[in-house]
Amino acid sequence: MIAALRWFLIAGVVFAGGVLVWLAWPATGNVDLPAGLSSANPGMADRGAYLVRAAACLPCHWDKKNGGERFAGGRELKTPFGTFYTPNITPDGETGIGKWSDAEFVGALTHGVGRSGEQLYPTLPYTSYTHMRIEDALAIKAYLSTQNAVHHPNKPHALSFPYSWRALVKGWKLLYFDTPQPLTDVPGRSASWNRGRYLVTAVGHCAECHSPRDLQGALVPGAWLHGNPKGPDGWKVPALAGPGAKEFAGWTNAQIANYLKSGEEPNFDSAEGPMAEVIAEGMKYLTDEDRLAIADYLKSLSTTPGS
Amino acid sequence: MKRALGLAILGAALITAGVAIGDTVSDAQKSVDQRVAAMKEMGGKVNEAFQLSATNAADARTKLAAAFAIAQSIPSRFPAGTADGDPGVTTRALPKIWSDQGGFQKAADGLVAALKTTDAKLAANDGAGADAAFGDVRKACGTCHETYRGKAK
Repeated sequence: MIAALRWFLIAGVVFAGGVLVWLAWPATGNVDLPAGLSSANPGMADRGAYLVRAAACLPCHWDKKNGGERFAGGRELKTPFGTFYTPNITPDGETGIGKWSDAEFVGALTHGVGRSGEQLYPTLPYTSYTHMRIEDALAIKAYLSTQNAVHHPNKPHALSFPYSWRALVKGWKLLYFDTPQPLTDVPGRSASWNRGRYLVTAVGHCAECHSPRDLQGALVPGAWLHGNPKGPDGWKVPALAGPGAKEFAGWTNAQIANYLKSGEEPNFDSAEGPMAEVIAEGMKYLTDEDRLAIADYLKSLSTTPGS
Repeated sequence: MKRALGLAILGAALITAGVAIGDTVSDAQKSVDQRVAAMKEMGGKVNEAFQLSATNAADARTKLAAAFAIAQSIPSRFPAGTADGDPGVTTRALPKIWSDQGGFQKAADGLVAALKTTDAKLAANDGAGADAAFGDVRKACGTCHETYRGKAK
């Protein structure tokens, strides 16, 4: 009996040790890029300039309130797990992403793995970006590389234990992160609907704020875009789909598109909080066609509550 | 027996007190809920007026009149005890409304004035002027919300 217990304990320790080694083992962030794709290809920076707006990179990677430089990061993001500080994504070689290869950049954006193989916290919304097309991710890198290189060291996150242990993100991913899969068009749906779906799901990462999260910070299954009572910076984020989206369901496509352009709500109220920033630094720069595509897709969700 | 009766009376008194406190809380919240509904109704009426303004100025003015009446009542819709942070109340109304009553009144007056101008432009069939005036109404809403309304919760 005692011998069996001893073996059981040994097996437990070995298993726990194995888990720890697995967690701490650096990930292979490098992704195999399809031949011919490169951020250095002609036209990529221009394409990226638009996508950086569509992905609303600036509101997070710019500590505007404290006089920071564009894309130099440092913005404080308060969450229930502690405070994150966004990183510098300017082309500075030492403190930014100037020395990153294309594969490393795509690995971070779509796999959530840093340049040294470290796990990235899902505050970088790679859970959405993972659905981004690789050429779009590369275009974003191309645009960022044209920006001013700002020497601004990244500030370490101030997270509570155990979230401060970065290796745990590997376990989190095992539970909540799907294999990277760029979104493909749904046959039988309009081009506008498919474009809207891509912008909402992958690039615009709308669900990251507009969905509720569980205690582990993962999106609650079956509640995609159902609103988040505990959104960023303590804001309640409204539902865009599901049973709580009654008010939004009353907006017309044109009203949604106009809101994304101007921040004007149909009831004469205006966008505020984090969404006002997303509009000011992102959505207002999109084409009318893309804003209508977003509306097209969102309306297809809000009119079928619970989907 | 006497003791049981005493306990029953004490219990009843506590329940009554509890209900009374509960009522007080719900009165404040009721007031908040009513003003939220009024604000939404006002925004809805302005929007209806805006939608109608291009095609039917008379109907637009009727909708605007309803919004105007609510706008005039704004200062009276913020009784003491209905600020964010007051006990038993969930609201976005910041205490600054009460600490800066002059500023708040001025903001509310700004909305009333913007609505009045919009109505005058509609009455004069001045489409471009009405559009600009609707823009000022939106600004008046935003100015007040930026200063006196807290985070959505």
